[in-house]
Amino acid sequence: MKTITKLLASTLIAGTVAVGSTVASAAEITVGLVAGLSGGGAQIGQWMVQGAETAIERINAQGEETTFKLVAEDTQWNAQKTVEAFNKLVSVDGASIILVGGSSPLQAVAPLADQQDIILFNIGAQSPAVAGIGRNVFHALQLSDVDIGVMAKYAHDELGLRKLGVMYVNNDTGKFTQAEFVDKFKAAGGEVVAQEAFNQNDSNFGVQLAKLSAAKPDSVYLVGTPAELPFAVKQARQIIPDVNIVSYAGIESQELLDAAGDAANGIVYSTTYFDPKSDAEQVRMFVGEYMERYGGEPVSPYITYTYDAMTILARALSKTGGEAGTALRDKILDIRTFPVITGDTVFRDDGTVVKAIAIKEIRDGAFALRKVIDPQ
Amino acid sequence: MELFFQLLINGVYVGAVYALYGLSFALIFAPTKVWHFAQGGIYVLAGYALYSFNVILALPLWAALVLAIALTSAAGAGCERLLYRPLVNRGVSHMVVVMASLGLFVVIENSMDLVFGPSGLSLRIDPQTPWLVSGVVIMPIQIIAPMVALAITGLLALMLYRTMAGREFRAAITNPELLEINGISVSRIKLYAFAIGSAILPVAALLLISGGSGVSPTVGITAVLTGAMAMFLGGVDSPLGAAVAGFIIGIVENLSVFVLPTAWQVSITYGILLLVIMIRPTGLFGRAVQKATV
Repeated sequence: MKTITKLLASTLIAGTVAVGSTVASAAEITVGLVAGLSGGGAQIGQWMVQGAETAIERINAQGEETTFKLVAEDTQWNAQKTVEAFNKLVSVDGASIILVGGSSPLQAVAPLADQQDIILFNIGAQSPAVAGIGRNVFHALQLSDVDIGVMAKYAHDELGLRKLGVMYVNNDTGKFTQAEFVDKFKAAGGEVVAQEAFNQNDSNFGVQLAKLSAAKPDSVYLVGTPAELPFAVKQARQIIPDVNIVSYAGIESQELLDAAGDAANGIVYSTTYFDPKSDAEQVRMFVGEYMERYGGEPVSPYITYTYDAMTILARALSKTGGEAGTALRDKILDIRTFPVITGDTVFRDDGTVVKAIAIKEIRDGAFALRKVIDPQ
Repeated sequence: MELFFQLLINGVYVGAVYALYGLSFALIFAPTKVWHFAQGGIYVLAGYALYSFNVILALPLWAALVLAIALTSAAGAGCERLLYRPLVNRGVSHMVVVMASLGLFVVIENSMDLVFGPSGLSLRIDPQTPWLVSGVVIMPIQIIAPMVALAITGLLALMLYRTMAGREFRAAITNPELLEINGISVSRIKLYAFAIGSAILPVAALLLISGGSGVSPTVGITAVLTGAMAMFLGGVDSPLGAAVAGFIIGIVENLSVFVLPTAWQVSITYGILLLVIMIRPTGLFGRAVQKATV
C-alpha cells in the first residue's frame, strides 16, 4: 500500500527538478542530484537541492570556463529508485557527476559509477560501510564512526552521562547511527539501559518513551528525520522531563526549532563544524546568497555539505579544463585539501574526509557552539 | 507494574484516536462500499486546516477546530459528489474507484508538502503538566481523549439507533435497493456518510496533536490504514464496532511491547488482525446478514 502510494507520489507530483542554465554550452557540466524529495525525509533532500542551487548560481555567475546545470531526481531514499535515477541521469541527461544522499542509495550506485567513470559525491550518507566503496566516490561529510564516536565520548566524559536510553527511527540511518553511538558510549564506559525503535513518519512516541522511562536513563540519544524529531523531543520532555537529550546532525534545522519550541532547549548534538556568523569571506558570501534565495539562514548541515561538494568540484574542474571522470578524480586527490565553508576538508585516498566536528547545544531557541573538536 | 499501567494509559489514549479513525472509515464504507483511501488525504487536510486557522490566522483552538470540521466535511462530501459518484455512474470497476481514491490521497498529501513543506509543524498548544500517579505519568489529554471518543461514539449510536435518519443509514448498509423502492434517496445518505465521516477527522487529529504530536504531510497513511484495520476488526457493517476495535488496537499495540521490542509493535497488531479475520471473517461485532433481494 505504502509502495503504491509512493509510486503514485513520484509519478503524479515529484517529477524532475531542473535548475541552472538551460542553454547548453561546450563547458557546461550536468550534475545529477539523487535524494528523497517527496515522502518521508523529503526535507533533507530539499535542503540538499538548496545547497546545490546556491553553489551553482554563484559558480555560474563567476564567469568560469566550466558552468553547471543541476538535474535533481526524486528517489524517496529508495536504493532501487536511485539506480533508476542514476541510469536516467547518465544516459538521458548526460550527467558526469552525481551527488547522492543516503547510505543504501550510495552503496547501490557506487559500482555503476566506477564502471561508467562517473564521479559520485556523498552529500548525506553517514554509514561507515560507505567508506572505500568505490574508486570514484568522494564524501563531503564525516562518516558516523568519526562524528558519532566523538559525540558518544563527549557525552560520557564531558557531559557526565552514564545511563543511556536510545530512541531511533527504524531505517538505515537510524539503525547504524544507534549502533555506532551505543558501541562508542559503552567503549567510553557508559551503560545502555534501553534501545527503542519507532517507524518513519510516526508522530506518537508514548510507547517508546514509556519503555525508556521505565529503564530510568539519565540521557536519551535521539535519531530520526525532520518529520518525527520535533514531536519526539516534545513528548520526551513531557514524559521524562529531567532526562538529557543528545542527538546527531539531523536535528539541526530551523524547522525543528519552530515545531519543538522550548522543548528543544538543552539538546546537545554533534555535526560537521560550520559557523554561519563567521567573518570568512566565503561563509559570508554563502550565507548572503542563501538568505537572498530562500529568505532564511542556512540552518541544516545538509545544505552546507552540498554547497561544499559543488565548491570542491568546481575548483578541481577548473584545473582539469572541465574534464570529469578519472581526470577529475585524480585532481581531487592531487589537490587533497580544500578550504570550504565548513573549514578545511582533507581527502584521504579512499575519498573519505577529515573535518572539524562541532559539539553544539540548542540554547534559547538557537544553535550555540559548545566546542570544536579536530578528530585528527 | 509501572510500565504495564503506563502502556495501558497510552494504549487507551491512542486507542481513542484510533476509534475515531475507525468510526470515520466505517461510517463511509458501510453504506457506500467505497474504499475511501483518500480519507488519509482528508486527515492530512484536517491537520493543515487546524494549523492554518490556529497558527497562521491565530484563531483560538476551538474556532480552528470548528472551521476544520466544516472544511473537511465539505471536502469529504466533495469526494463523493465530484469523484466517486461520477465514476460509479459511468459503471467503472471497483478497482478504478480504488485507484482514483489512492490518486486523490497522493495529490492531497503532496499538495500539502508543496505548500507547507515536508517538516512537522506544531499548533499553538501550551505544554501540559502531567500528573504522576504511583510512578505512572498521566497527561490531561490522556483522560480527555477517551472521553471525547466515547462521547462522539455515543452520539452516533443515538443517531443510528434512535432516529429515523439513523434507521435509514443502517438500512443503506444492508438493503439500499429496498430504500430506493421506498422512495428514500440512497445517494443522499452516501453524501451524508462522507460528510459526517470526514467531520470526525479534525477531532482525531487534534486529540493526537494535543499529546505533543504535530502536523506533517505523511500522517495520512497511518490514519487510513488504522481506520481500515479497525473497521475489519470491528465488522464492516458496524461503525460502532469499528470504534470499539480502535480502542482494542490501541491497547494491544501498546501492551504488546510490555514483553517485546517496540520494533515489533506494528507487526503484532497486524498479526492479531489477521488471526481474528481468519477465525471470524465478519469481524468482532459484524453480522453475516443475508441480503434481501427483489
